[in-house]
Amino acid sequence: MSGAAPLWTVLLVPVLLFAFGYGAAAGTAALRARAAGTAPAAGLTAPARESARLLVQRRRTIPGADTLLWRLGGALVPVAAVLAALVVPLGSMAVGDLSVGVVWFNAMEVVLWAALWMLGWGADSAWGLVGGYRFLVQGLSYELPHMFALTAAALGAGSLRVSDVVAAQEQVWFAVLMPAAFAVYLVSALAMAFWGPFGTPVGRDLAGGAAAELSGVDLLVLRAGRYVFLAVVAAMAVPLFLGGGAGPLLPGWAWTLVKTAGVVALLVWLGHRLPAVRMDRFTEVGWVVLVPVTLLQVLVVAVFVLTR
Amino acid sequence: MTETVVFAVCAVCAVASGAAVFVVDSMARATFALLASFLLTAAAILLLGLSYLGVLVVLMMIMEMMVMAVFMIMYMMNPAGLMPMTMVHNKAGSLVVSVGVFLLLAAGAVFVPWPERTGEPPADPTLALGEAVMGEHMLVMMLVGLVLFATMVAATVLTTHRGRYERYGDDLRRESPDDPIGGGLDR
Amino acid sequence: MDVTGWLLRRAAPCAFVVTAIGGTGARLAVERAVRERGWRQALAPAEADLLVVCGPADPELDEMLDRVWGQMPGPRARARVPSPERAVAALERARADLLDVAAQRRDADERDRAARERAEAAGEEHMPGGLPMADRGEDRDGLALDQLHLALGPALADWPAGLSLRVVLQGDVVQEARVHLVGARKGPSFWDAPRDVPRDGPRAAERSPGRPWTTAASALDAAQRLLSVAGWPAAALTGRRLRDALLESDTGPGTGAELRRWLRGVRRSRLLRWATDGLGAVGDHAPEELRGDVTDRWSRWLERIETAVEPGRSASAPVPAPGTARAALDLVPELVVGRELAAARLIVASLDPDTEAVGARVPERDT
Repeated sequence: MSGAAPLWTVLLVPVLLFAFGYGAAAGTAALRARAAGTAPAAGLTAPARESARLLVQRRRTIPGADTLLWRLGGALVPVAAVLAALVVPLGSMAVGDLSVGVVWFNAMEVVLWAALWMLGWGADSAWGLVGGYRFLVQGLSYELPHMFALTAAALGAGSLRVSDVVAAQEQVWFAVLMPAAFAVYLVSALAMAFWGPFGTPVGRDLAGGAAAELSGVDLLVLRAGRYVFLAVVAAMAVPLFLGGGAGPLLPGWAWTLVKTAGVVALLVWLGHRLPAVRMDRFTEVGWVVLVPVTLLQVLVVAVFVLTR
Repeated sequence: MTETVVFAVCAVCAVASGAAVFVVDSMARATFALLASFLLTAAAILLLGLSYLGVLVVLMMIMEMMVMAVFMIMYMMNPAGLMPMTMVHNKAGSLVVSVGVFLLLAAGAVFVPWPERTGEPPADPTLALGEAVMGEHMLVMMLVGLVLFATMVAATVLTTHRGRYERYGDDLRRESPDDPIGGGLDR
Repeated sequence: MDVTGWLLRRAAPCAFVVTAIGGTGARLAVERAVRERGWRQALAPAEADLLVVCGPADPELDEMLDRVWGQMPGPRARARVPSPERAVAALERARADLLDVAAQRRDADERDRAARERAEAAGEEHMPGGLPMADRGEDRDGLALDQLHLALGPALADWPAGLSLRVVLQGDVVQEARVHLVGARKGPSFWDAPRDVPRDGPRAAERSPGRPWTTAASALDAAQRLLSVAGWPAAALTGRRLRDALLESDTGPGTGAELRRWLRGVRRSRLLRWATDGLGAVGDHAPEELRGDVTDRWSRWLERIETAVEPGRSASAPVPAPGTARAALDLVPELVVGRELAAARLIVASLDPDTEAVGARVPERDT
């Protein structure tokens, strides 16, 4: 289980992420098409058609906008996603198997806080600003439970290295050993990709929120970045909780891909089935319910590790 | 050699973006200039081989700067079209003080005869850090944590003008609190 | 090779639909046509390439629409749909305009030139972007915060036709609110008006105003709008499709089962209840339709729909009392003050003031 992969795999990361991101977008479009009563098969090409539209659309110039921060915010979303993916192992290989891989993933995911706030602020729009602030409230609500869920996995393995976390799951998956942490991870995965029930920062009630003033290629970068981010958080669930590349018959890399596709499908389906969560409601749940739950989970894991 | 170049670039850029905090004319840009300065400092920490501390600085500084941005700009609901505003008061005085402090610290770093290294760096600095924090310095760390937590709670209590009597009535008999915005648990 | 034209032909247009008072029928036709073509409806002008205006022209609305038109990045096209039967033709024409690459290029060059001239004429601006600074005021917690003046609507997705809610925001909390109707006019509401039934089917009488099928369709329309605001686009889309099926002359036998499934899904959603419980509570002084909180109001719609489609019970379908629309409009300001934007949008969507039933007299009430 040693991780240093050849350098060319750096190029593979964005390709795979893009494929999963496109799959998530196509799946969403197919579910939407079914709800609208049109042929779901049209959903498969819908993301490509939408990309074609946005590629032709002109970028906007807004009086009084902080263009530097605005453009930077949009560009940071896919960049943060790819950087976070560098520590996710495919089978037994990761591009960078850092000794602090779990913390690295967490740090790159927090870059999104800055990115969305910049997007909202820079556009010189009330909708955008409210959307940007909403994401910060969301972040402050999900981040601590999320960190404790990551802590539980790292504690179970006794290491912050992602490949060690995978190795520690040879007997039993962490999803089974620490179900509360896994559930909280899935909730925070939806929240950090501002997806589905946690999509209010770019919500319909805000006319698009942080994305309200984006058009053309800027909007394309944000949307694509968001789907890619969804793919990354789904991919990270595999080494942390689902045993990484472990599985019968198929090689490790194939199992990683299959499991990642499963988690992506689950997140897409949840986003389709659930209405939005209002942040003034969820904040209290995050702090009063999820933080104690994850702390207890960490305690249980700690006792388990000590008595093993 | 590569390390020296990376360090030099990061050091110069960190100082430059630190100076930019006072040159730019908007609060948002000042915040992100400060953030950039911290992130470049984190790169220097990573160069020392302290990967945990370096990544942690990235993580915490982004969160901290974003929370600071909320508080700085909370009072101003003008999205990006804020009036250009200067980031310094008493320009001459502050310039003298900051340049003086910078020269003093730089002189200290350059001219003090640093002792030769005697020990070896630990094999796993993250583990060594954890053992130090949770071992011999545990009492100090716990105390610092408690003091910080108590400060935050006290500051919140002092600033809010609504106490339990406003929420639950004068005899504290109200079943559900009277809040302008209810929370999510219906308590 | 003309890449722009090639990409444009493959793109599915994204329409920003604005409804004027008196344009509900046209809106339903447009929404249906957009849905059936697999196009999307935009949330904001920035992402849209079609501006579709439903209903009669009005000078005040037209001035606002010109501003919306200026915010659309281009390539862009504009369509006006005064009546339902012209919806399809107007959309097709707009699509053709969108594909005319040469005309789109001319439009873009012209806008660039105009923007340059404006920038030169303005010279050195005193304010950034020529925008004024915000003033301060006391907020709910006694802090002096900047106030932002914002008009919600009438060019806003999932919003009552012609309603413009002028709000003062501090943070995202509404501090003051004032209702203004753009293009208010005398005339019957779409849902009350007698309308042509295309064929004399056995159910033709049921589709006249005040009859169960019409009240069910109007409740479905209100429900899909609320679901959309509540961030549940999938349920909202299905609601729209079922609404269109109800309004159609020959309803297939499949709709009943599907409608019941949709009703069950919405009613059982704990998350939706959690988002709407306790919001915008109205006391007993209001018309019965509006009493209770947001959850009570949408539950009542669902009941109305259910009653209408149940074969045996259709005779007893409740009909909103006259005057409900005006009462709903009057309630909006007092209910949204002190709420943050998400809650305010849900409250407005749940009151669903039928601006066409209010008449020409415009209530101008401060809070």
